[in-house]
Amino acid sequence: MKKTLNMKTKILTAVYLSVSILLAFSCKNSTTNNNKDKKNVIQELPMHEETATLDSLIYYRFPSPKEVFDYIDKSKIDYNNAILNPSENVKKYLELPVQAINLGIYISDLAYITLFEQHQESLEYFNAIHQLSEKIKISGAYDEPLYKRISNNLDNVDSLLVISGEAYQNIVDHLTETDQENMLAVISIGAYIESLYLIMDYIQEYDAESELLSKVLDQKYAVNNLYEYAAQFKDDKILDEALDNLKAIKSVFDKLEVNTPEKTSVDTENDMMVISGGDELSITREQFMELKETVVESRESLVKK
Amino acid sequence: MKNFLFIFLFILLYSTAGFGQCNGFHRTMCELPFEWDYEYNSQSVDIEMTKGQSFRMKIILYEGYDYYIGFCKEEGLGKLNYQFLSNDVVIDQTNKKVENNIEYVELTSKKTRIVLIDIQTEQADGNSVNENRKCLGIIIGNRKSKNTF
Repeated sequence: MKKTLNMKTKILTAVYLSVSILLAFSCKNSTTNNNKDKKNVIQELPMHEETATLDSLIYYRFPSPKEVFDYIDKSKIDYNNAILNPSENVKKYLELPVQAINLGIYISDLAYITLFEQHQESLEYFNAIHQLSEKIKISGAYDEPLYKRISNNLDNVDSLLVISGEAYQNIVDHLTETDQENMLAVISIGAYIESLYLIMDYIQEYDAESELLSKVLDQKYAVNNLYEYAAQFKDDKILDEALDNLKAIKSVFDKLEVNTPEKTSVDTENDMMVISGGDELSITREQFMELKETVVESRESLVKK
Repeated sequence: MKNFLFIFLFILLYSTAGFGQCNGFHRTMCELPFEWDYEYNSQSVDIEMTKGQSFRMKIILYEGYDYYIGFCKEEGLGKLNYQFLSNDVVIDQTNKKVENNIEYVELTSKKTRIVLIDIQTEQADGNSVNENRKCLGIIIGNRKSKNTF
């Protein structure tokens, strides 16, 4: 995947690197070297001036819709195709931003469908994705062989899951390679709003102890990363509506109470680093209602266009 | 002062040139071990770096999953220094491993969290910008955690 930067970021990169050089000339102590001398597994993060002022230089990543759905325990929910955006709606989407957002929505729907092994529907949604990809001129990401592979593997659950994942990754790669990360941001926002919508549909009543609700709250981090990623392109009109909707959802997530009962710590178990402690999120009944309403309103306004 | 100006312009030229063509590097050039039992994670990324440059990315680790984070670099990029940070603490890679020329760590999180990966390459040795431009693939894999906490 090619990493591209917009002009603003490039300029900030130059400034950041220059600041780094200045710091290197003026102060030769290296954080990395200091770390090596300490035996503690964890240590407080030293304050870097540039870290605080040039946060936009961080490259933000977020899980794919398939990974979001994998995180949800599907054994505790039943498949419900009534909550999907009907594939025939694809004809309604005439403008580029709406097409891109709904491409993301259909990508999430496809991830949900393949998770529940609904083979025939997966082909319908793949068709919808293919049509929208053509409309926004990224059909190169969804090539004919992939389409044929899906048709030929309708009875093979594992293959469909792999193909569905590859299809999403192909879009990500294609848009990154062709310097269209603004488009990728819109599609990803559509995908996230749909994922949240589908998952939250299973939570009709507030229950602070609900495992499913806890997993929804965990999406706060992914929403944050996605927002930061998309915000680099905020001057691009194509993002206006998508970003406004994501911002509304992020604002509700930002209201959640964050407790840190245990400081972050690391142990090694079975040759694996285990990170413990850190933040715990909690949501009130009112916040839950607000989150659900915001997600539903956003999603419904986007699919009706 | 002249030296500094030269370095500044050098970096400015590089920075405004973009990150180049490393798309697909880790999938085509990095061979994962045969017994790799992780699922490819879409947060994996390829970047183009030069010596002396740093790169930071924030990823999401879901609770209940093990993660493989591998660094696969093109020859000539030099030594990599990287660190993981979570909740403002630095996590040293005490269990860093190398397999198939991929340096990697395996970690798991008891809670869903954002982890920042801070990567720095060793300082430039005076070669031209193009000579130093190399691909770095950051390969992320995940699997349902084998640990029971």
